[in-house]
Amino acid sequence: MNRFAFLGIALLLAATARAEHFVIELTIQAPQEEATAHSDTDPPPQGHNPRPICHAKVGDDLTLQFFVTSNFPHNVLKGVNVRYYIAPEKEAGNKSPPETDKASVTEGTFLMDFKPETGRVGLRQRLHIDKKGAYIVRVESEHSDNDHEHFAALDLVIE
Amino acid sequence: MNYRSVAIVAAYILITCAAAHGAGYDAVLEVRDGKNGQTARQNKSSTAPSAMSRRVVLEGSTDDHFTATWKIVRKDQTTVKDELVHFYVVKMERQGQAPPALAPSRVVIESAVTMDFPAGETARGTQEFRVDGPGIYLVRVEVGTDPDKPGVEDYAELELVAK
Repeated sequence: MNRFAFLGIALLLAATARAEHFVIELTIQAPQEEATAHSDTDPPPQGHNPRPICHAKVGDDLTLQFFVTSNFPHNVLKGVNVRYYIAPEKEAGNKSPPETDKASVTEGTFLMDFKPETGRVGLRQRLHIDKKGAYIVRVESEHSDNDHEHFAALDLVIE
Repeated sequence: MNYRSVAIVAAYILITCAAAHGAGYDAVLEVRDGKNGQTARQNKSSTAPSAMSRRVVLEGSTDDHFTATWKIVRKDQTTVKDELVHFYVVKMERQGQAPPALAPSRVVIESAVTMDFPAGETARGTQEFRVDGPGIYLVRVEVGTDPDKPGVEDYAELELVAK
């Protein structure tokens, strides 16, 4: 596999852009299951769409992957923060927020400009989780200069 | 033209080529394990002589949560459109190894940002990760990569030794 295979995927996904500020595709891949979530909007904070659920076992090899692509046709969105995390939640399937007093499994941010159509960020990360429980997997825009933000989220249940 | 003139012209061409190397960015990369950290700054392209210099090394535990923070700044006055900033952590065979092929089974984390870079423009990223087990990992951020012209990119990189 050459060094640009992952980037090639990102380029292909850019062609699927729809009429939103951001097109988001978020995937968790476990040995037995895979779940994918697409763009939702905040407000409301937990969005309109039900969160897909992925089940895995303690210590399973998991792959987190997302792509966030600009689909805002008018101008460059400057200084947008893209934040992602996997964090414990009380219960899967009821749109509960993350438990902020507990440490996240992983998290990160990107600060960047989003040019119309071609502005994008993608990430792929391999990880495992050592503790049973329900986790929220989420990627979201911050400071995108709109009256709403975009995100994609799903639930990950570790058994 | 005598031999001395030829030598001067040849030296001038070599200096010009060396100055033209690189994609025109400053790159900074820091990796921390919560207690300790190391910072690497921009290197010239991987074909430049300085690429042979020893990488900064951070030692840590396989149980650690590492945080990589990178920053790319356009220092050249020209604007580059749809530039790619590529960050990754990949397991290597040995210290000092050239950046290996990014086989999915060896890549811990990889990200790609595409945006325009006018003069002074900045992109930043912070990514947490854990390693796969004991071993040597290359942590690298690169920009200005051209598949048709390997070695022209600017980058910052360090080695993470997990025990």
